[in-house]
Amino acid sequence: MTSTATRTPTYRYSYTIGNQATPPAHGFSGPVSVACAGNGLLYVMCSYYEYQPAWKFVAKCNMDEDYLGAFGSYGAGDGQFTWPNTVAVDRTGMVYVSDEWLQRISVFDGDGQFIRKMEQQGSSDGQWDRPAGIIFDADDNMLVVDSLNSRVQKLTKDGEFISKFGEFGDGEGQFNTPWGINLDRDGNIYVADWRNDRIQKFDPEGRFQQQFGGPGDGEGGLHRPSGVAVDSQGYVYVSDWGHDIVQVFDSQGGYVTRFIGDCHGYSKWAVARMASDPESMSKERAVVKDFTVERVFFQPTTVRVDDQDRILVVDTGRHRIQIYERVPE
Amino acid sequence: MPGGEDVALMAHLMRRAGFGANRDELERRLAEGYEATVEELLNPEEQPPFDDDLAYRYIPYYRMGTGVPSYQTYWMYRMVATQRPLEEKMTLFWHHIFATSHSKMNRNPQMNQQLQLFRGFALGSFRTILIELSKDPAMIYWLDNNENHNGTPNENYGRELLELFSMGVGKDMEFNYSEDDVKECARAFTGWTMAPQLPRYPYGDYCWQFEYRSDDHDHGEKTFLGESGRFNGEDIIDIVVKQPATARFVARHLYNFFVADEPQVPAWQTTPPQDTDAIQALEDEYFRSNGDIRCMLRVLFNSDFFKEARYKKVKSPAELVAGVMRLVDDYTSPKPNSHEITFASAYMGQDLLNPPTVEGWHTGREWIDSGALVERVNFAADRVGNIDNPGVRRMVDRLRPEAETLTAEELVEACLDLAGPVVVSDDRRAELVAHVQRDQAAKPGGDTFEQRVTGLLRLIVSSREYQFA
Repeated sequence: MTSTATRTPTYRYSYTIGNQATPPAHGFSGPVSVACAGNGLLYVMCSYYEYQPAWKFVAKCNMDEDYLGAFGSYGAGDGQFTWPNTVAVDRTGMVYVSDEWLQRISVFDGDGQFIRKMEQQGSSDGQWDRPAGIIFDADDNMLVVDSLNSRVQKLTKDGEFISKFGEFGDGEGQFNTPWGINLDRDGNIYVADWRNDRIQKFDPEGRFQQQFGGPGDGEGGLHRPSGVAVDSQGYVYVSDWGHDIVQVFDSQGGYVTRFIGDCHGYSKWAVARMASDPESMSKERAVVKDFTVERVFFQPTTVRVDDQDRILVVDTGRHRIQIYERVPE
Repeated sequence: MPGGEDVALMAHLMRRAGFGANRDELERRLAEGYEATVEELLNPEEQPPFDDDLAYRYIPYYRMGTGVPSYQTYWMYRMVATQRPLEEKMTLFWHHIFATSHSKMNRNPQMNQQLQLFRGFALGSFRTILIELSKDPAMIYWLDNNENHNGTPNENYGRELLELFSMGVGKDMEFNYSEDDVKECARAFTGWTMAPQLPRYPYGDYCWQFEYRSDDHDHGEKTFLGESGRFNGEDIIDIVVKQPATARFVARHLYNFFVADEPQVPAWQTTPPQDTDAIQALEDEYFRSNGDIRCMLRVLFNSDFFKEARYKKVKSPAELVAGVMRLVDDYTSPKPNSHEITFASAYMGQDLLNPPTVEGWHTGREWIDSGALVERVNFAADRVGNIDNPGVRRMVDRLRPEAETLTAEELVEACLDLAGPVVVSDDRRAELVAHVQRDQAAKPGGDTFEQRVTGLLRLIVSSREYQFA
């Protein structure tokens, strides 16, 4: 089954980056977040096993599927990760990783060198309890989803408090264990209100504007949405984590379509991996009748739109990023 | 605080039908009553479902991991955190009987899928459980039924279905079935296989799905346990579940797991049950209810033989680990490094999802050897000795108002009560009292009250008695 749009616009699956592997092999392991750093550069946060330290890392690569390295490992030391949630890049190219267990945002340079960390656990202004989604606005300030404090905080890159909005609840402007965050071209803020099964939109000052989704299994119904992104025309993409799909809404919150996952080819890295043991892999694959399970998303956690309006879906359970494009009208 | 016989009985029920309960939970259940608690346990679907979303958010590999520790750890986490303790306990019960190992599988989500099957059918009819088991790809692969073809049968699954999963070799010194029955049983399950599946790389593991291939099934006439027909697998199971041997088999397993340690399963043909009346009551309920496991457990938990069977079972490692964690209220929500408590169970001799053979683990006193005992004692003592664990903190806080007035004897009694209640011998009690007195004499005014309590708790969980459920 291939994802098809039921209304305009229409989309097409483009290609996949990924392969289950740990550094120095070219691949991802349980990727949960991706940051688009411009010029096709990507940082991919991988959060896999805790019982093997090498399985939590940031992979650096690009949209051309060139593998550029990796940094970090499991642990609680400087530059390590325990429950990494989101990777984001500021306008100077510095890389930020939020970690919900360590109550920390770590900062690396573009080469993965650890620079510093911010540990500000609490509920006062400028403090957080389980920092989840992070994104940088046009002024290069950092918006942090302060998950267990049920709010979003705007901070300087050094962690100094600027403003906040949100409180616990399920009403407008309230949150329950929110996760992902993103901005549109006008600086409006979109938050994946995870436990409330919806996306909320706020203006740049944090005033509630509208909400998308809501609990349900039908078109537009969400279950534990974890990520959100907006393209240049205002279409909103939601990683509907609990349903293993991505749903698309128009700027008014109307349902447009859904992606179920369409990886019907191999990434460059996957081709290389399969070439390492072609006989056994081709033998096993030759008798398979239904390849659907290989194509579809499995726990898609984050969705991003890059500066060319390409839609990147972080397909956590399949260790890859599936990339879609809107078909020109 | 409430105490005495009622709380001891409730604690007994929760150790057996679950993985133990701390004092707050026991008191809540006492307010509901024993029979009501039994009904609540028997109807897990009426309790909140397990919060998988929260678990998967913080520990993604609980859902999509490809390494077996992912699923071992996830299961241990469920045992500790579940609000449906009997559901998880029955999953462990069936894993003990239908022992399947990842060691052959190398397709680890398949083991998790099997546990989900056990969870879903845990309290249903035995017939349904056997049919679903026979369709389970993990079991099919584990016992080679994918190699069981029309014309070239493989008897592995058919044999174990009868010997280890439903009837047992014999009872009352008689054989329950013949070698010909095994062969006919195997023929009936030809064509029960799983569809080919993609390899793990490059994008991770995929589960097999059951597939029935009529063209590979032996549709011929078969004679099984005295009945003849063109039997398929379901027909065989229909015949199996009617057998007195099957009722005995299920009854003895339930008794062995929930009531008191019996001899190891291979000895059952020649060793009668230690409580024939109890087994008879369970067999009667098996036939009355058409093999409904929930009904059999209702009889069991409400029986005198169950209520009187305290401390007649050695805790399995999984029970010990999960019980300690529930007592100290740690890992009751997602937390890093949960593999450590799972690995602890393995060090004690129970590597979940990796039983030593298709016979499963030998239980009872065979859980204990010197190495395993050291692991058990160290694990439990470390946890109850840690005041940062919320459950330990609550025990200390309960006793703190009386800190200045409690005698050594009273402190020992109070700690035994809160840790279980744990029933110890008079000699053990005297040793504990002597320890408290020595400690006070050696360090007058030295240790804080919380250090005295946690020190005593460490000794209690290190006792011989604490190894029993």
